[in-house]
Amino acid sequence: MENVLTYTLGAMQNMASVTILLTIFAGVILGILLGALPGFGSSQSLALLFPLTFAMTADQAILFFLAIYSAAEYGGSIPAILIRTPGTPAQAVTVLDGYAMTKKGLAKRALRISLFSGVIGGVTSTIIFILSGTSLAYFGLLFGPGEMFALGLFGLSIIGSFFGKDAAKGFLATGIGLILATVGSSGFGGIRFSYDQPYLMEGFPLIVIIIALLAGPEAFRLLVDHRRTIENLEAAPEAKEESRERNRVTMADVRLLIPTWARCSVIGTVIGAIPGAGASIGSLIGYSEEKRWSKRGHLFGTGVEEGLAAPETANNAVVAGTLVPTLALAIPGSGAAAILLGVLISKGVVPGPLMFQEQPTFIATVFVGLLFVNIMLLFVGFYGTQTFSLIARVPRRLMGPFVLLLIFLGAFAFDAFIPHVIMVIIMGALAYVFQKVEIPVVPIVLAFVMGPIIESNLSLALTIHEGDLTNVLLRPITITILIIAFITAVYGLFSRSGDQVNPDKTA
Amino acid sequence: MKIFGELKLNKKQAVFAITILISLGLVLIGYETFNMSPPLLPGYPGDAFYPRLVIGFTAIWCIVILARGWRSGSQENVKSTPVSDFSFHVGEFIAVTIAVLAYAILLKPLGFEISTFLFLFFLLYPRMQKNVTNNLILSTTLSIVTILVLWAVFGFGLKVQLPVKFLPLYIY
Repeated sequence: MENVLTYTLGAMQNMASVTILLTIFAGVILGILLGALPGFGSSQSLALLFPLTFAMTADQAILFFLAIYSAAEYGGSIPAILIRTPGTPAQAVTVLDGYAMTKKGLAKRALRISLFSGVIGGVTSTIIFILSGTSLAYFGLLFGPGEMFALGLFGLSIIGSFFGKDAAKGFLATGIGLILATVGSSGFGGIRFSYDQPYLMEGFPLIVIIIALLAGPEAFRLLVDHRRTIENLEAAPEAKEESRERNRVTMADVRLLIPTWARCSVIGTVIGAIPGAGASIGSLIGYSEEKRWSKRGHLFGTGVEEGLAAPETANNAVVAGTLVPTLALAIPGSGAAAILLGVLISKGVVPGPLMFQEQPTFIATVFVGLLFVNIMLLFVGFYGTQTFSLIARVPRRLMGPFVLLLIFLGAFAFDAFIPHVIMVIIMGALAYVFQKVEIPVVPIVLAFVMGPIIESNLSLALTIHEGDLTNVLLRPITITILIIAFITAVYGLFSRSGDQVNPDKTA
Repeated sequence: MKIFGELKLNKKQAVFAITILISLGLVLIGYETFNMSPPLLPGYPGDAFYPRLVIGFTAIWCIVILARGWRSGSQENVKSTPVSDFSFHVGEFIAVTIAVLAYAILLKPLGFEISTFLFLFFLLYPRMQKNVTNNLILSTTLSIVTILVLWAVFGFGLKVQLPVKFLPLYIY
């Protein structure tokens, strides 16, 4: 770490290059645009733009990719906030309070809070990495299959107990998501629940589930329920004449959000440092922890600033955290990190434990560059807010066909496979019905993401320990996480039992 | 296009019915787990182990919801209240679902341009709420502009293999 700090000044001189700054700018623009498209998460965006790096130097290429990665995590929040369609899986939680704020006529405010939160998360995690990168790397190594299984169960305990008005329906939805995740390959050579249909043998693609269950019901709702609605989202009953004033983010808001930003930056960085966890888990855990600690936790889901800031801070903090195992241990922490690793290797840069000693200038360039990326994102995102928020002015009855078309093409863009598109339509229609009867669909999506992590790690742990479950569950970190998961589930169940008496009480 | 088939449904009864359907589904896939391959690796519990865990977990919550619904249904005051009712536009829902499924099926035979135009026009026209001529002009214009924008972004920009009939996918 002393080497990194020593070489920081040299790295900042590298940043003064016009070529580098233009590369970062281009990466930020492309990242926002691609991240905002359903069907194009950060991994897909990086894969698509990989050929552009062939003519770049190693420094340029890594900074270009970091710009895209960070910007895509913010870009995904734009449709999540404006039209309840997350651009990337990590924004599944953002829709809860983000879209609720848009319905109140606070779309610009939501976009600005999302932007500030993402930038602060990115900057804070970068600083954390600079100060403690190698320690975090070895912390991540402590997480074996048993620990990852426990972390997955902890995620499930949060999902079922805190989403929706009724915990029983939340856990039912969680179960449905886990079942959907079992379709296809078992990971150990078996194929399950395919019923000899070729399009089921590989299971349901994640992007199909996300688009179908999060965006699909909203598209149906806009088309079916708002067929004759004339008002736009900005003209919601709660919006007042001084909407410009209400959409400003003031110093009072900043003071309110500082604890959220601090907590979720740390959470995102730590989660990012765990190989395989990713931004989805980071945003989920950030949201749930903030709901627990915030004074307004009981209002999460109704358009509360902390409820939006928490996942957005965490999922951008994951970016720097992901670099920890990627650079220090050559273990990619996510799909996007795997592509970053590929770029580095193609440029002759070999990540690993010796990288910090042998290439301190490069390490310093990466992290100073990440700071510049976040500053650039702040400016581009801030001035883009005005443009993005125009979407909220479109009358709701007219948005439906375009939202439906966008999710259709998002599913088609994934692999141009019509059965997947039909899956999106059918699941979207079912999700619309679920929402009508207040069975939450967000737990289905999140459980679908967590399912493979839980199963693969459980199976691996059992195989390693020759079927001895006690050996798996009684490891110190595992048992600690499992106890926390149990307490979380019980707390969530009993704290919601009052809602059974008064089901109309807003969560 | 007229709206028809708007139903007022009781939410609790709807949840009860949906939960029963989910339970039947669980029985079917639970039966399927007995056809899965046995464990090959020492220590590995087999392909059916985890699905059965999950099916059991889901079944527990189905039972909780069904028991709750049964108990509330047998209580004296079962009069439907506005709180527990919701409206469901059956006709509109079916029409939209059929429209988008038809779009999916006809996308490749008719081509991206024609199928997208028909899809958008069919959905936009009844929602314009102006006179017939203006509705026609606005729906047609918006549909064509949207097709061009989507072609530029997805087909030309992102190299998605859209099944275009008239528009080029490559410009030399």
